[in-house]
Amino acid sequence: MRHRIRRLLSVCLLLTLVSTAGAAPPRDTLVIGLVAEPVTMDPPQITDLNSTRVAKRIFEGLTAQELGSYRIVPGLARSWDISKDGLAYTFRLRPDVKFHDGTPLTAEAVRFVFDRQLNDQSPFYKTGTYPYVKGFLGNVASVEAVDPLTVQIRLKAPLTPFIQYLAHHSLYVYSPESLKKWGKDVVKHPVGTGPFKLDSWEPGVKVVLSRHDQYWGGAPKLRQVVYVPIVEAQARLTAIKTGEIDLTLDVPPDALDGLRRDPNVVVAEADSSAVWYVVLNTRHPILKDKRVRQALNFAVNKEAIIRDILRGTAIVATSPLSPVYGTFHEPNASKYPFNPDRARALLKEAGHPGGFELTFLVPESGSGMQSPVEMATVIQANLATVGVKAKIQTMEWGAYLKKYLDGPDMAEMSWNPSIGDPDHMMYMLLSSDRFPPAFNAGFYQNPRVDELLRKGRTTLEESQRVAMYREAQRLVTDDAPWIIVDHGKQVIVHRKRVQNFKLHPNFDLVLTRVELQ
Amino acid sequence: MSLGVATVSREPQPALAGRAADLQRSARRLAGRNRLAVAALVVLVAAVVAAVLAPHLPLQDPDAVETTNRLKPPLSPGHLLGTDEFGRDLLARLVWGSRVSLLAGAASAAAAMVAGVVLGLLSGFYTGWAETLIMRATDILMAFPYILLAIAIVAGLGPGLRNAMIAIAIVGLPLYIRLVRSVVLSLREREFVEAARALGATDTLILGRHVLPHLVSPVIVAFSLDVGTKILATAGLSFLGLGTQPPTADWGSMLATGRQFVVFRPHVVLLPGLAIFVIVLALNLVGDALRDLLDPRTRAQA
Repeated sequence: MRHRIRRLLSVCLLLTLVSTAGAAPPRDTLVIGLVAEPVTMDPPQITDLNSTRVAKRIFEGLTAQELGSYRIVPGLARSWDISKDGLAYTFRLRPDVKFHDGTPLTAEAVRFVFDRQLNDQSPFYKTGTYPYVKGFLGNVASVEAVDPLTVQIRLKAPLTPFIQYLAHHSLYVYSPESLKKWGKDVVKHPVGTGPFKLDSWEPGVKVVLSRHDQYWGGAPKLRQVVYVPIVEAQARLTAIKTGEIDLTLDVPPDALDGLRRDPNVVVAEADSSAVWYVVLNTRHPILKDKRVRQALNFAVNKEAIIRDILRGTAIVATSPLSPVYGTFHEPNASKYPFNPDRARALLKEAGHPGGFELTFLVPESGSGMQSPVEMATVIQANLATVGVKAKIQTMEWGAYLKKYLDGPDMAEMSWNPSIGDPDHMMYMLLSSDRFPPAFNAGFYQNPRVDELLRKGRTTLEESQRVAMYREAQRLVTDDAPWIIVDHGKQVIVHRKRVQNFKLHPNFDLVLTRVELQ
Repeated sequence: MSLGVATVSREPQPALAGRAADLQRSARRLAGRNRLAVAALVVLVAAVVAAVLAPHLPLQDPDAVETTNRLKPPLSPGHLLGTDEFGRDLLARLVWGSRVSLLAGAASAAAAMVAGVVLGLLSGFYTGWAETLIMRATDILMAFPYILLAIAIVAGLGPGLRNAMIAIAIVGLPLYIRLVRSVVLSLREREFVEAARALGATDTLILGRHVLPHLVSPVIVAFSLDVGTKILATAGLSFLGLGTQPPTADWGSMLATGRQFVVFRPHVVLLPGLAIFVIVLALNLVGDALRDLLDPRTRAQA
């Protein structure tokens, strides 16, 4: 009798062990491995890609991007009119949309959300900082709730990209009641209208979203989504291979060949509008000479970096705007093919034949940074062959972002624009209106480029805008304020059981129609 | 009366010269019995010589990046031990890396030793607030896990080899402080110290002439065993990205960057790992043999 009981117990123990081994996620939960933890869930305060990947499931904007392109389609506004002079935008909201806390979406809620960022007299203005407000709403004269479902926004001057801005996460609509209730803490208590709502957030561990059954666009198929931060690329690779997570990105490029052969895993690739560059301090005593900056561009072997370090997951960048921008991309920008001799000649001409020293700031990881330390090592070696000694200083991403805006000699950055208008990237990064704390971290200033970028924002006629942005690109690439390296491709790796997943050009992970087998 | 067995002398050894001759005899006896330690010593000497002579050896440039040559296996033409993910020669990086690892290990151990001996002498010889201060500070240092404290210090000072060495030296102080303090405490009340004081000797003279000689052997033994630990600790901090910065070759950072290729190019991570293993093992074996040599108890039995 005792033998039988003992045998039964050991079988039960064995079964429990076997069933808990191989930590695969449950059937209706999608587990995503992110590169870093989300930082905040308050839309106007978000600046990092990982926060947007979560927040865009919870919130929506007046306009939206069609999945897979930058084409603008209705979002929370089902239709709109733009006045002939380009100054008045009238949006008609969808009726019967409710926030996750049950309060209704009204024109007054939209007005409240805009007012919070715009109006420094608003009682809620001090509940956060708004890095994008000047860039996106600097031109807004007024926001009015004309009737419960109609919002009118008046601009001071025409701003052609404005309709695209409304699809940017910083202008997403959240529940005014949530802000009144939580104040500053709304960063951890997001309440939106989107297909998913926040279930729980354990800092450093995971963020759990659950399905919003009353979503106006139809409840999503996924019941739950879990985001886990996995900072190390190697660890993300292991996790996707074992099935511990269902979807991830930024795996080590060397591993992609093996993953493509793996029957349980799908490697999805798409071109993007991202650009990876090294910003140069144009106020530095040596770097302020254009010839020196051009020399640095000639010295770096971009093809080798893309072929050997990135294993083909990028294309060489000749301009900040990638070919994804269609007619706006300038194919005749100044090009810098690998040419160390030319680099040395330029340095000599600029009066630095013996080279010089620079401090090179490098992040250990970061959203969209590809393989930052490896790429820095190659760049450092390339520069050393023409006499420029770059001393690398690595640091963790959060600390890096602070130092990046502090006038470094040279520092890596990648920009993944989330909206498809060329203004968004060029104005944000290359206009002298956008010196730190905004993102023109090299203090680049060219009066003609400034003029073109400002005019491009207000001109309504597309062919005129194309001409302006193309001229701006020619000027910028000649000035070489960056060592401009590559346009990264999006590479997403997911398990076979993830169905209906489609890539979106701004690196967002859209889950509304995704289902699990 | 001799019993054929050497008796352990209970008197403190006054002169070092006699000890030296004594030591030589014991060393020869021990060397005969301990071939492994001799081999370890040979390996260490060879490593140090290679490290010192590295600029003059016929090696490739350890920092020369040639990405078309990346991840070549050992015994490839021109690269005896293969290349890393940037096409840099691994043999050159191992030898140049030994300079960093050995120097970092020895220097941080030496720094910890010097500072630790001084603090240990002070806290052992003097009662009162000096002793309390030093001992409580030592307790605080020991309360933290070793690596965590080193990481915290480097996080404050910034990454880089120099700061990593400072952090490791600080974290390694308690070993020497406590060792020296215990020896000094046992000697403090001895008659020869009292006698010296009665003759008017200053504290410094007593510490320098009468106490310090007794510390030489225990501290040397501790140091030789400690260098291995310090090499591991420096490699650990470099592995975490807190030690040397690119492109400096260093065994720890070579381990860190080589990890991702362990499946299809294991030599990139195995070689620096083996190097660390062999050097630390050699240091431990030599340290053990030194202890056998210098410890009066074991020497007496030899």
